[in-house]
Amino acid sequence: MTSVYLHPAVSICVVLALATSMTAAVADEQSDSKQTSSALPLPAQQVAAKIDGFLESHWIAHQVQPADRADAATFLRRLMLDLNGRIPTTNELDEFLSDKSDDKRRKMVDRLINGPEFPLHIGSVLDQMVQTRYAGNKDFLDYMRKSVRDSKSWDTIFRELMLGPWDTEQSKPSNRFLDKRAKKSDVLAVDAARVFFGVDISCAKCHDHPLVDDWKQEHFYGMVAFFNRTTGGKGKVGEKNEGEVTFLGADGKENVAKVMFLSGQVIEEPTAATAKSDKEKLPPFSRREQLVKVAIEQQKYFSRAIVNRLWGYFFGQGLIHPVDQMHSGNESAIPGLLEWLSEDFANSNYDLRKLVTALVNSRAYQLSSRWEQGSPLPAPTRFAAATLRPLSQRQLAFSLLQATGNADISEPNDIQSRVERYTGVTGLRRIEQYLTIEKQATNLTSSLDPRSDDFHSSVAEALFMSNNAATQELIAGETDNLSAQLNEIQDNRVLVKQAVNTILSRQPSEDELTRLSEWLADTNKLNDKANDKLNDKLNDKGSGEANDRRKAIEQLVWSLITSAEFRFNH
Amino acid sequence: MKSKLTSCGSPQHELHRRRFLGGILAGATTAGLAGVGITGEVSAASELKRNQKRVLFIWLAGGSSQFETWDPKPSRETGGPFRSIPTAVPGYHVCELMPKLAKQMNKIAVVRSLNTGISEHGLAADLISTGRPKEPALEYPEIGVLLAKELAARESKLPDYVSFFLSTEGRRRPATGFLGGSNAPMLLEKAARPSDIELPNGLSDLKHKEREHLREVLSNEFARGRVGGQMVNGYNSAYAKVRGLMQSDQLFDIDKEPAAVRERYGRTVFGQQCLAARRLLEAGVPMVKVARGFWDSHHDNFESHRELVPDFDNVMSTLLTDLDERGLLQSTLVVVLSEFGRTPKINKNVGRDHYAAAWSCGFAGCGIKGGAIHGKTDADGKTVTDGEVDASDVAATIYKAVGIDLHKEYYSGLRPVPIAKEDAKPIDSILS
Repeated sequence: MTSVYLHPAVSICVVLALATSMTAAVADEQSDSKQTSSALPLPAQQVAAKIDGFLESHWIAHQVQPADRADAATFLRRLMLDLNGRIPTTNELDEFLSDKSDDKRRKMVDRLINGPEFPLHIGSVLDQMVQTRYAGNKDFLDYMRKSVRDSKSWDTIFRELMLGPWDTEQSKPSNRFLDKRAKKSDVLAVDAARVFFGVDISCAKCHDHPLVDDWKQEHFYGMVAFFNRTTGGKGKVGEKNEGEVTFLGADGKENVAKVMFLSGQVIEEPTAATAKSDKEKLPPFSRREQLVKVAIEQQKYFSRAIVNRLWGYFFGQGLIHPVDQMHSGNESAIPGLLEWLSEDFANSNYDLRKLVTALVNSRAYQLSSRWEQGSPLPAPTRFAAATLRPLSQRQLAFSLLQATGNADISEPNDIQSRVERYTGVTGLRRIEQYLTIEKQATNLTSSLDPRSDDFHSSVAEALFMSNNAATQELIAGETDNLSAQLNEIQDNRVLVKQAVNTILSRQPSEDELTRLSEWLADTNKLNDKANDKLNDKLNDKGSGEANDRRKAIEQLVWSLITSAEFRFNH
Repeated sequence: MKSKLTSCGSPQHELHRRRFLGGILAGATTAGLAGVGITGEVSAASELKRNQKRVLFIWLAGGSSQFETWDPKPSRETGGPFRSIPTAVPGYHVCELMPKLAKQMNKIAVVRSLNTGISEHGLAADLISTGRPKEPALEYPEIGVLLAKELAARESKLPDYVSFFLSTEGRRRPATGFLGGSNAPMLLEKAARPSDIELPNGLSDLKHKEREHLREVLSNEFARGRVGGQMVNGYNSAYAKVRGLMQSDQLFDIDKEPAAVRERYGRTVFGQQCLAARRLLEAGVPMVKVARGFWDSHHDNFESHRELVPDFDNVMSTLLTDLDERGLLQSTLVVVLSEFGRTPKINKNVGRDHYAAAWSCGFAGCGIKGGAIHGKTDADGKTVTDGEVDASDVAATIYKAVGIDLHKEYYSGLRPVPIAKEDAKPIDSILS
């Protein structure tokens, strides 16, 4: 490493100073939005406008003309996948397309974000984000979902994960972040730093980080020292009253680790460690409590990490990318934006709903993924167009079930509406439907490729979609699903329109309509001896011709649900 | 009269396809599998078989100990309890846990002088498997991914790269880096045989093919001019392998091997995977990786190596003999690598920790001078005293062994990137 050594705190100051001056420059360009740093929190719409301001300056600075705005159907599909984890139903799509009001997008955002599915879906996104390899536990998932439903602030969630209380049946599951990792305090420290502070210190374990000047061995062991007294692993989390972390320094000497936060701030322990309280949940001086305190006081790491992660979720990559590599050597794509958003987020009492509302109302979120500007494709860090994002396993499984007509997302009937009114829980029916689909989806999810930073399509998924009985069942028109419904339609053009509408959540173009109906007619008539034989076997189920048509429809449905347009959020 | 079915179906379909594709006919032809041994007889293919070059990576995940394998230091404080034994190469000794390989040392080249700097698993594995130090702005592909791309036979229906890693490799997937997702290997993570390679019930082969064709056409139209469209290429190329794999069902089935052969490889997971790997290589898959885990011996190094090394010795020696007997060794490069070696110092848990300053790796087959021993470490194995090489030199050696031009350039965006690092020096003393 040839770079000059800077004390981490110093280098952070440099970055901050730089960031502040950039922000000022941006603000100067937009004379109407001069902000001082300790401003009152802005309403979500104004935050969205602020994001637009940053982006527009960013585009001007890099001389890119951003893509056009995505059309209404694309927007709805994108939004519903992100907020509800599934594609829209044809009813939802038709209703949205026929709404002629100017602010229909904003209204739809509000409706979804306050609807019953948002906490269910975003709860699972947060579960994945926080628990990573331990995600999927129903109790923890429900804790996250309820937290989102009840508009719990992010700092409250953090506090509950770190400190409890875990004394009731309801609150106990929130100890699972610690409990799953408590047996190894270095694992706990590394995961906590990645998830909540957006930094990866694991490489500083054996020596100062070889690639990142910010992270020294003392940072690694400093973080471990916050957790080394934490006990758990069998469902019950506690904290001992004593115990130090020692490590072998690069100089070969054994050191006792300071209790030190990432910023370099050292926590001084009271020397007279008084009254032992062995079986209590927390000792009089809890190191974990100190961590929560210092992290929230310092705000920077804590707020930026989640803002950057959510930005990454909605835009395909973080403002700082990868999202767990926030350090002074890894610059943010848009100077000042992450800092500004994080500050507003903190000032808004860490309101997740508001942050999400602002992100999806921004111009950048609503850009088309088509690049028709004639110039070469812009770098992803320009955020000048939407980028294709692979659906997560959950999004894909839900959407497959729904598109093929194998999931029930109908509106509540009279009785069900009455139950909702009576219990005072709107969306009760939808919650039940959602959890039912979630259960159905488990047949599919593990065979699908996970969404990741370096997404790879595997041959295994292609084989699964092509040949597995579970996927063939989705398209088999023998039950009351989409294929069966399409089979009732005589006119090929009407049929194709319905198929595209349901599966791809948009209207087909005239050209597509023509070509796909021709494909259907041809496939129907294909000279296919093997198929004739198969039909002979099925003779009792109807004439060969009817079978041919049914099968042709099934293949059309298959081709649409496996097309790239369906596989990606675009 | 019904005309003979071609794989593409009826004439009127051809017409529509042309319209879909704007005049370019899709590649769904009847071309057989490149290589041999799947669908039928070898004949003209045997020439191809000899000429096509292949690489097998044996990845000893976690870091195998050079002391207990290629670079023993018996009777030194750092040497541990095992003796060393003479080999077919006069003057060169290996650890006594490798008696079979010792006899075949005339086929093997050993490099004892690796100094690669990084001793953290993830970063070291990145370094060794790409042959490049990490750069913030550029993600390099794994060597195997590049080899697969370079050595792939055109229009092969087989995967260009098959990577076995059951539970043993810490679930690392080969990085495709700037080459993108369409170059991702086929991963066999759950079983040695891919699932879902049979035609679904009630569906004719022709319909199966037709619908895939429509899927591909729709996907390509969708991807045109999209930001992130390269992910669609990766997506399509995964689907493009489906039908080839369905035809090569038997390829992955090691039950097709005579019982005696299966016994020779041993009934360990590693042995059976290496046997499956040989079948794939023989059939024309140019790049195969088999990972064998559990080498990370911080505790009880000698006990664990007493278990692991004899299995490695048996499998590797069987493999070399088998490849040789089939006339494949000359065209197949076998590389044995880890992310690093292990410390000379034996720690308080009778283990050895991570060590990147002086360690070893092995090569055999295509382009390799059998019996060549490159480099030396000091009497205790602490430092390299002769012929020091780094990760990029190892990568360059691999490329050169199979005849790839080290200076050939790929492009990451507008930036030209040579296959081997600019200052990499292939280890010529082990190349034939």
